[in-house]
Amino acid sequence: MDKAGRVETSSKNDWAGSLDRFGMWMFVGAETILFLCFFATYLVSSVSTLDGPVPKELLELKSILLPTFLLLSSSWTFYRAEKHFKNDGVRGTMVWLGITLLCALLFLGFEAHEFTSYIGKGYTITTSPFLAAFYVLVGTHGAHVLFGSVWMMLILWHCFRKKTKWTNWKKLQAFAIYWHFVDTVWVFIFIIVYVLGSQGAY
Amino acid sequence: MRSLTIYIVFVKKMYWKAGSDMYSIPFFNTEIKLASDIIFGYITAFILGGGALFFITYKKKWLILWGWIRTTDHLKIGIMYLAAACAFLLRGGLDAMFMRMQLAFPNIDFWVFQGEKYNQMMTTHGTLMIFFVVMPFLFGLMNVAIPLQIGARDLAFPFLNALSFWLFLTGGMLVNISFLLGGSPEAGWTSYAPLAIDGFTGNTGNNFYAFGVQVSGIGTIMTAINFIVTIVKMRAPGMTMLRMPLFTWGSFITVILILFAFPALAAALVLLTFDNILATDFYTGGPGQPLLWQHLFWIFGHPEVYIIILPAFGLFSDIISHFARKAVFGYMSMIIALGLIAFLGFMVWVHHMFTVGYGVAINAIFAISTMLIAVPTGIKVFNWLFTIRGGSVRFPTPMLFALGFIPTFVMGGVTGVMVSMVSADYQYHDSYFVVGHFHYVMVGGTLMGIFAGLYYWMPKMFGLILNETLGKIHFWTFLVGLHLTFFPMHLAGLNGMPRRVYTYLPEDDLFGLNFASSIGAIIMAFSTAVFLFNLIRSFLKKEGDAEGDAWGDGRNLEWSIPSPAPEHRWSKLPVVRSRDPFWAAKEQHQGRLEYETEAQPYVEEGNTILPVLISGFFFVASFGFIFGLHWVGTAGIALIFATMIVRSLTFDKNITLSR
Amino acid sequence: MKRRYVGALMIIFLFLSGCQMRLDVLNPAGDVAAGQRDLIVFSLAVMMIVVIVVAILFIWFLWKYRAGSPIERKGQMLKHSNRKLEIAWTVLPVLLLALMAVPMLIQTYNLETKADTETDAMQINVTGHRYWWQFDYPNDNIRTAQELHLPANEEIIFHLESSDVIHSFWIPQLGGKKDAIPGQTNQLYLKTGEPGIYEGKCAELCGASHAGMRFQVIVHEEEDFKKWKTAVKKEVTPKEGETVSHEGKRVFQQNCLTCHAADGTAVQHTKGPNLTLYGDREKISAILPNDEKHLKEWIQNPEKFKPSIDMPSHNNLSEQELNALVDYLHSLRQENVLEGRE
Repeated sequence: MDKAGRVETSSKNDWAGSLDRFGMWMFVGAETILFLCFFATYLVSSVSTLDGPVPKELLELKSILLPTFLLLSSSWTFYRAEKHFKNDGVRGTMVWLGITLLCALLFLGFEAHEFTSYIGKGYTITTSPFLAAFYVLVGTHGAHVLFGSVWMMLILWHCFRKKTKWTNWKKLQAFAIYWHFVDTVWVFIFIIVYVLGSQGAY
Repeated sequence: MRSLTIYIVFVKKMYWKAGSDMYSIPFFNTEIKLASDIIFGYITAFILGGGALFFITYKKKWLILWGWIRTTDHLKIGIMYLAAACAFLLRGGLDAMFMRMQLAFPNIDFWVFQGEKYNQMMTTHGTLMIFFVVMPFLFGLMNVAIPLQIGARDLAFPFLNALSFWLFLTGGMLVNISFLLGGSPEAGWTSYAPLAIDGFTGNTGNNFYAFGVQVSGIGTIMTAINFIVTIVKMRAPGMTMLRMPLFTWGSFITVILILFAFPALAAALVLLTFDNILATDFYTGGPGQPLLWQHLFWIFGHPEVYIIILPAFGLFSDIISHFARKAVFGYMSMIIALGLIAFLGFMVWVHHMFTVGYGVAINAIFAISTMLIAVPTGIKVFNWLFTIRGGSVRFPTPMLFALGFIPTFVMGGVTGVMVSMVSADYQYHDSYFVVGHFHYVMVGGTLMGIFAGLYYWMPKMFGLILNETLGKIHFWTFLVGLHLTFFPMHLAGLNGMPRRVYTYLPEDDLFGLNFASSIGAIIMAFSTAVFLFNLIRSFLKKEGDAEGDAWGDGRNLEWSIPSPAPEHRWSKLPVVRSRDPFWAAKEQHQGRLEYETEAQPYVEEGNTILPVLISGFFFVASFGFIFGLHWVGTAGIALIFATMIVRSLTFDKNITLSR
Repeated sequence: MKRRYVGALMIIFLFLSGCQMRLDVLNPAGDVAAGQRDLIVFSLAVMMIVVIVVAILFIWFLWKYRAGSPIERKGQMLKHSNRKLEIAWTVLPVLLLALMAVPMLIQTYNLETKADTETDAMQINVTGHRYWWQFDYPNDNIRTAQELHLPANEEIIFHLESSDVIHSFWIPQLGGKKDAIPGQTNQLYLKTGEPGIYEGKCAELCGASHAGMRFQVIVHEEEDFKKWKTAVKKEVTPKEGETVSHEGKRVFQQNCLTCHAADGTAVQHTKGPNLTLYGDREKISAILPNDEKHLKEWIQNPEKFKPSIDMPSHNNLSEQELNALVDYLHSLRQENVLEGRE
C-alpha cells in the first residue's frame, strides 16, 4: 500500500507529501470533472421545467443556511482534529473527528428532509429535467458526504485501536483532501443552485 | 451488372438464414430469443468454458489459478490484462467478420446479421475494441513495462491495481454476455441519445452498455491515478522526468488524459442510466437535450482517441531507437509534442458534432484547433524518421510493426486533417470515409503498436522470443489486410456510403469497394490466427531461453534484468545518470549498472481476494439494475461498500515491510 | 518496404479499371457540392505533398541506414536534435495548414450565413421519421415523402426536424449533410444544378433500418416542376366512408388510409409516408424497384425489407385485392392524375 520509507530516495520533488496524499489529489481532480459535468447538466437542464416548479419556486435560501453552516464548519472542526493528531493528542483528534462526523450526519439529515419534502409535493426525479438534474447534482454531493461519514467512522475506529499510528496519520491526511473537496463542492452548489436559483437568476 | 446479379443470386443461396423468433425464454424484465446465433453463442460459451474448466482440472492448475486471481503483482496483472484483451480481440474481430460478410455483397442476408442484429454486432465491435481491447492491451503493456523502465518495485497502489483489472474484466464480461441475455446494445459505441433511450432500441442492451462501460471506467480512472503517482513519485534514484523512456512519457500523458476525460464519461453514463432506469428526461428529444449527451460523450471521446494512441507513439519511439541503435532524435520536442497533443485534445471535441447545426463561429474554432493537432503529430513523425537517419537498422518483428506504422499512420493522419475542414466534413461526416480514417489510425497506429509491444516485451513476460518467421508472416499479412480493408472505405464514403448501414443497393456501385474490404478483413483474420498460432506454439515449445537483453542493443532499464523478470525485480534500485541508462552502462562500464549502495526499506502488498470480491459485487449490482431487480442492485452496492470496509479494517495484515 | 505501396497502387488501379469508379461526392450536381468537391481535392493535393515527403524520407533512410550497409555514419547525423530542422518541420506544416484553412473558413462562412439569411430561396421543411423522410413545401401547401422534387438551378433552404431520434439529411451529389434533431430545427442551404435523379440518405444511425432510410431527389426543369406541383395538389385520396367503385381504390381506402394519403395536399392520413404519384416513382420506400412483383411482396411483408418498420404486414389481402391495389397505386401517375383518370 505504502512506500513512504522510500520516497525521499526515489524522487526529489516531494511537494505533495506521501503517495496516498498525492493519489488523493489526483482522485479529487477526477471528481472535479465529474462535478463540473453535473453542474453543466444542471445549468442546461434548469430551463426545462415542464409542469414542475421553476428553480425560484422550488428552492428556498433560508432553510439551506443551517446545513450549509454545519457542513462548512465541519471543515474547520476537521482541521482541529488534524492539529491534535500532529501534537500527539489522539484523544483530541477523536473528539474533533466525532464533532465533524456529527456535522456531516446532521447535514445529511437536513438533505434527506429537503428531498422527502419535495417528493411529498410530487416533485420527483421524473417530473422535469430541471428536477432530475437537481437531484443528480445535489444527490451526488450528498452521496459523497455519506461516503465521507463512513470513512470517518473507520478512521475513528482505527484511532480507537491506536495501532500503527503512521498509517492513521496517512489516512487522516488523505481524508483531509477529500473532505475539504466535498465542502468546496458544496460552496459552489450553495451559490449556483441555492443562492442564484432562489433569486431566479436562470 | 448482369454477371454481378447472377453472382449475387449464387452467393445468396450459399448463405444460410435461420428462422427468427423460434423460441423465446422469459428472463426477468426481458426475454431471450433463441435465434440460431444465440444458440451458437451459448454452445460456444459452454464449450470454451467447459474446456477451460476441464483443462485446469486435468492439468491440476487450480492452485496456480488461485494464486493469479489474488495477485497484486504488476507483471502478473499486466499479463492478465493482455490475456483478457486477446480474448476480447477475438470476440470483437469475430463481430467484424460477421459485419464484413454481411456487407460483402449488396442486398444480401448473411445469417441473421441484418437490421438490429447488425447494429448489435457493430455496437459490440466498437465498444469492445475501444474499451476492452485497445485500452487493456495498453494497460497490460504499461503494467509490464513501466515499473521496469523507471526502476520501481511495483505500482504505487498494488491493491488498487488489482481492483482496476478486475473491474475492467467485470465490465468486459457485462458487455459480452449481453448477447446471450436479452440482446447486445445496438445504438453504436457512441450510444447517441435519444436512440439509446426511450425504448427506441432494446433497453437491456443499453443498460448492459451503460453498466459495462461504467464499471470498467471506474477501474480505468483508478489505473490512471495509480500510474500518475507511480511515475511522479516512484522513479529510481536519478531517473529524472527528462530521463524517462518515451513509452513511459506517452503513458504518463495518457493517464493524465484519462484522469480528466473519463469522469465526463462517468457523468454522461450516470444520466443515461437514469434516463433508462428511472425514466428521467435528460436526453429525451422533447423536454431533454439530446446534444448534452454528445457534448459529455465527446468531451471524453476525443481525448480517448489520444489516450489510445499516445502510449503507442511512445512505444514506437523506444522500438525505433532500439533497433536503429541510436538515441531518439529530438527527445525534448517529442515530449513537448505529446503535451501539446494532450492539451489540444481537450479542445476539439465539437468536431464530432460539426453537423448538429452550430453556427460558423463554433465550427470554425473547433476546425482550426483540430487542424493544429497535425503540427505536433507531424513533429513526431519527422523525429522518428530522423531517428532512423544515421542509425544501423535491423528488422526484427517489433521493428517491422513500428516501421509499418509510420506510412500507415501518416495516411490516417492526412485524412484526419481532411475531415477537420468543416465545410468538406459536411460531406465526410458519418460516412465510410470517417470509418476508413479512424481505422487507419487505430488499427494502423494503436493495434500495430500493441503487436509491436507484445513481440518486444514477450521476453520480459515469459522469457521467450516469439518465432520470427511466423512474426514476419503475421506482420506482412496484417499490413496488406489492413490497407486492403480500410483503404476502399474512404472511396466508399466518397461514393455516399453512410456509416453503420447493414446493406446497400446494387445500383449504388459500392460492391467492388466493399468486396475488397471483406477480402482484406479475411486476410487480417488469417494474420491474427498466425499470431495466435505463434503464441501457442512458443508456449508449448518453450522455445528460446531469452537473455536479459533479449534483442541485443537494449537501451532502457528493463533490459538490464533477466528474462523473464524475476519475482523480486530490484533487490537494490539502479542509480540512473543519463537517458538510455543501460546503453550508457554498456558503453562505459561493460554493461554494469550502478545500484544503490544500501537497499531502502519498502512495503509489499501480499495476495488478496478482496479485489475480485469487490468486482464480483459490482457485477451483482449491475446485473440487478440491468434487469430491474432493484433490491439485487442495492444489495450489490451495499456489499461493495461492506467489502471496502473489510479492506480498511484488515489492510495492515496484508502488507509487509521488506528489506 | 516498397511492397506496400505497390500493393496499395494495385488496389487503386484495380478499382479504377475493373468497375467504372463512381464517386458521388466528387461528381457534384450543384454549386454547394462543387465547392466542397474543390475543397476536398485541394486538401487532398496539399496532403499528398506531406505523404510523398514522408514516403521518400522513409524509404531513403531505411535503405541507406539498414544494418550492414557500407555507408558512413557521420558525426553530424548522430546528434540527438537539430534546432533548425525541428523548427522547419514545425513551421512548414503550420503554413500548409494556414493555406488550407483560408478557403475552408470562407466556404464555411458562406454556407452557414446563406442558410440563415437567404430568405428569397425556396423553403422546404424536412422531417425525419424512422425510417422515411417527409417533405413539406410550406409556400405551396404540399406534403410528400420519400421523393424530393426540386426545380433545377435553384437555391433551397431545408428546415430539418425529427419526430423521433436523430437523423442526418444527406444528398451527396448536392452537398454536405446536416442532422435532424428532435426538439430543434436546423437550416441547410443547398443549390441544385442540372436536372437528374440523385440519391439521398440518412447518415446518422437511427435504428434497425437505418440502411433503408433513403430518399430520391428528382431535380426537374422549371416547367416540369410546375407541372408536378399541379399534379401533386390534385385531390385523389378517397375519403373515409365514401363509396368507391374502383376496386383498387376501395382496397386502399379500407387498408391503407389509416396511415397513407394518395395526394400531396393531405393534412390527414400522415402517420405513414405520403404516396403521391406512386406510379411515377422509381422505387418503393426508396429501396426496392417499383414493379408489380416487389410492390406485392412489400405490401405483404415490409419487415422483410426494412426491419422494425412501423408498417404492418398485409397478409389478409386476397390475391385479387392485392392485384387491384397494386394496379391502383401504379395508376397514380402524373398524366392520369392531371386528366382525372383513375
